[in-house]
Amino acid sequence: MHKILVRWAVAAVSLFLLVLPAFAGQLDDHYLAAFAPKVSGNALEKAILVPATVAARAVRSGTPLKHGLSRDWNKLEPATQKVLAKQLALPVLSGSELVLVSAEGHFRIHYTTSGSDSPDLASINNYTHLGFASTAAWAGQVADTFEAAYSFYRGLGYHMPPSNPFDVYLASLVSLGEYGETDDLNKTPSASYPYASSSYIVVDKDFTDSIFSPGTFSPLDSLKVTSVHEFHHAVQYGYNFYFDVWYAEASSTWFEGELYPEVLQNYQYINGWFADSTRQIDLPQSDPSFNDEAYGRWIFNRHLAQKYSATIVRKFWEAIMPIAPINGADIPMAPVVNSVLSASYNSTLGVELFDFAKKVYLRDWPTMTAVTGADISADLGQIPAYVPVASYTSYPVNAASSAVPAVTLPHYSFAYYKFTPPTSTAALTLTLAKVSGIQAAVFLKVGGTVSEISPNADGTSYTIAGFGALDEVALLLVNTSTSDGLQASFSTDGSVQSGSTTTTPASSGGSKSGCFIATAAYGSYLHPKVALLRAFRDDYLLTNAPGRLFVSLYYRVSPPIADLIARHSLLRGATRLLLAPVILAVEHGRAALLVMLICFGFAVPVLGKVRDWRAARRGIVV
Amino acid sequence: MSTSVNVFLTGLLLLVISLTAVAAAKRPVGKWNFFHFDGSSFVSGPSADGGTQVAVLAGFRPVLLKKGEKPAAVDLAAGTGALAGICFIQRSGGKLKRGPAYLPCAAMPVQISTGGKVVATVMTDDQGYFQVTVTAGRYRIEAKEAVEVTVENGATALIPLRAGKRMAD
Repeated sequence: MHKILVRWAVAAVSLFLLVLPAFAGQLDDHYLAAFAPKVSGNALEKAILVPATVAARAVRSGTPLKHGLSRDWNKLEPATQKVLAKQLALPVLSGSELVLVSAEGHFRIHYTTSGSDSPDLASINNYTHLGFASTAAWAGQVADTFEAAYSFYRGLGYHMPPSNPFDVYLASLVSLGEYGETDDLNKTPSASYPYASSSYIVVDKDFTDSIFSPGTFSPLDSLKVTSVHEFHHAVQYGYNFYFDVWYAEASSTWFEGELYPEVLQNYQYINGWFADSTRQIDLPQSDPSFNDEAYGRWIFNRHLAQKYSATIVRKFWEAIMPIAPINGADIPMAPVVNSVLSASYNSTLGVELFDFAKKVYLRDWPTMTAVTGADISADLGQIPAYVPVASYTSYPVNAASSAVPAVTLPHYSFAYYKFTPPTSTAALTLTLAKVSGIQAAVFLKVGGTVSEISPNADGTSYTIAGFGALDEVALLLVNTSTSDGLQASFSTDGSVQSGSTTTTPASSGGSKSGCFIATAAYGSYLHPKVALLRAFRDDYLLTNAPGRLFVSLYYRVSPPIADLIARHSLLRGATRLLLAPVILAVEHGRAALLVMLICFGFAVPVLGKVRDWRAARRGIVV
Repeated sequence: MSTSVNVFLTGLLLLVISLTAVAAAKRPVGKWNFFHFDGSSFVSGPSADGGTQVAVLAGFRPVLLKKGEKPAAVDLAAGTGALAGICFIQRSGGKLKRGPAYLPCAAMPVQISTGGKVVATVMTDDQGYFQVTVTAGRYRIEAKEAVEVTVENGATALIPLRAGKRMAD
C-alpha cells in the first residue's frame, strides 16, 4: 500500500510542477498589438527575410514624380486616379487656384478665394490690425515673408533649394494640426548634391484658428516663424534627402528665433526636452515623445552658435551633402555633428553636451543679437529652468531613499538632481560612483547666485560647507559617450562605493533594455512576461549593489546564450519551462512561497517512504 | 494491480509532458506569423489600430489581412518565394498634434526586376500594400525608391518602400 501512496505522491508533485509552465507560455498576439519590437532576424520569424542590402535608386535627373504617375496613369482605375491625385500630386485647393509670384521671383504663392482653403481676411485683420484689402494682399504678404527667409538663408551662405521659383500653397491645415509642411518632390542629383531633392511647402491659409493661439502669436508672427522654419526644411532637402529628422527640426526651429527673435514662439518647446533630459539628444522619429521633445533641441544649436558662430550649423548640413544613405535609411546626424566638431572646432559632441547641460543650470546664455532690431529683452527669461529628475529634502540620501539616487543614461543625455538644505545640516558631502563615459558637475545656489564647485581630492566626492545656508545644491550627470546604459549612483552618507556602478551594453539600453534570454525565449521584448522580468530588474535588482552586480554579470554572459536560444525552437521551449518558476515567483511571490512549502511538505514524507522502501528491500528494519 | 498503476502513471506522465510542451511552445510549426507596418519597418504582431497586417508562413503565400480576417493558406509553388510590402510617405513632426507616422501610397506601381529585366509590375492596394510571387532569386523592387532583396525558396520578404518624406511643421 505504501508503494502506491509513494507513487501517487510523486505523480501529484510531478503533475503540479509540469503544469506550471503552461501558465507561462501564453504568447498572445494581443499583448503585442502595440509597439512590438522590430523584425531583426529573430528565429521565431524564420520565414521572413528582411532586405539584405538596400540601395538608393539611381535616380534620373529631372524625373518628377508626377511624370512617373503620368506614365502609368492610363493603367489606373478612375477611383485610383482620384486617390493618387490626393495623395501624391501637388496640393489641390478648395477653389479656383490663383498664383502670385513674389517680388524677387523666388516663390509662387498658390491660393484660393473660395472654399475651406480661402484665407479669412476679416480674422487676419482682426488679429494683425494691418488692414489687408484683399486675399491677394495677404498672399503678397506671404510672398514677402518667404522672400525674407530666402534672403536670410542666402546671406548665411546656404545653398538654395533646387526649385525656382519655389511653390508655396495656402491651405487649411487646422484638421492636421500643422502650421505648415514641406514635402519632397523630385530627386535632383548633381555633382555637388548627389542626394538632393526638390520640394514644396504648404502653410496654413491664415493662422487664425484657435489652435495657433492668434491672440498670443498674431497670424503674421505665425507666418514669419513658419516660413523660416519650413523653408529651412526645403534647404535640407536640397542638401540631402536622407537627413536625420530630429536635427532637421532642431535646425528649423532654431532659425525661427534667429530671424524673428521677437516672436519667442520656439521657447515653448524647450521644456519638453528639459523635463525628459534622460533621453538621448538624437531622439528617433518613431519615439512617442518625438513631437513633444524634439523641437526643443533647437536650444542646443543656440549654444553651439553662440560659442562658435552661426556658421557651425551650416557646416553640419554641408557635411551630410555627399553622404550616401545606407540601406535607404536616413543618415544619423549625431556622428556627423561629432565629426565636424572634432575636425573644425577641436571639440566633440560629448564635450558640447556637457557644456550645454551646465549652461542649463548656470543660465549664462549670451543675449541674442537682434537681427531685426526688435525688442528681445524677454529672450533670456523665456529659457525654462532645469528640471531635476529627483529632489531631496531629507537626509541622508542613499539606496534607502524614496527617490533612488541612481540613474541609467543612454548616449548623449543628462540628468539633474536637486538637494534642498534642511536647517540643521551644516555640511553636505556628495559621493559619486560612475563610469568614465559619465561626466559630473555640482552647483550651489546662494542668494540666487549660482556657482560650480570642484570635487574633493579623491575626484569622486564633493563637500559643500554650510549647506544649511544655501538655497540649493544641484548635481548634474551627463552621458557624454556614444554608449547606452551607462549607470551612476550617489549618496550623501558615503555609502556608494567607487566601482559599484555598472555598464550595460549599448544594445541593452538601461531601463529600456531587455532581458536577453527571456526575450529570446518568448520571442518579443514586449511580451508581458518579459516586461515582468524587466520591471523586477529595475525595481528590485538595480536598487542595490548585489543586484546591480548580478545584472552586470547577466548582461555579460547572456547575449550569446540568448542568440543560441533564439535559433532553436526546442531551446526556446525548454527555456520557457525553466523560466516558469522564476516568473511565478516574481509574479506571485506569496503563491510561489506557498507552492514551495507544499512541495516541501510532499517531499518529506515521500522521501521518508522511499527510504523505508529501500531499507525494506535490503532487509533492514528501521 | 501494481502493473496497472505503473502503466497508468506512465501514461499520465507522458500526457502531462506532452500538454506542457505544447503549452510552453505556444507557436507550433505551421502557425502564421503576423506583422504590421509601424511607419518605418514591419514589426511582429497586429497593429494597435486594427489596420492591415501581413500573415506569413513558410511555404505559403503571404496574406494581407484586414481586421478580423483569417489567413487562408495557399501553397507557394516549388522553387518560388514571395514579396510583400508597403509603399509609404514618411511623415514626421507636428508641433500642435501628433499625426500618423506615414501616409500609404495607394495604387502606386511597383516594379520588380532582376538582371536588368522587369519581371513584374504590381499595383499597391488602397492601403499601399502589394504582394507578388516570384522565382527564388535576387530582385530589385522599385517605386520611387528602390531596394534589393534576395527571395528564398518558400520564404516571404517584407519590404517597406519609402516613396517620400513629409516634414510636418
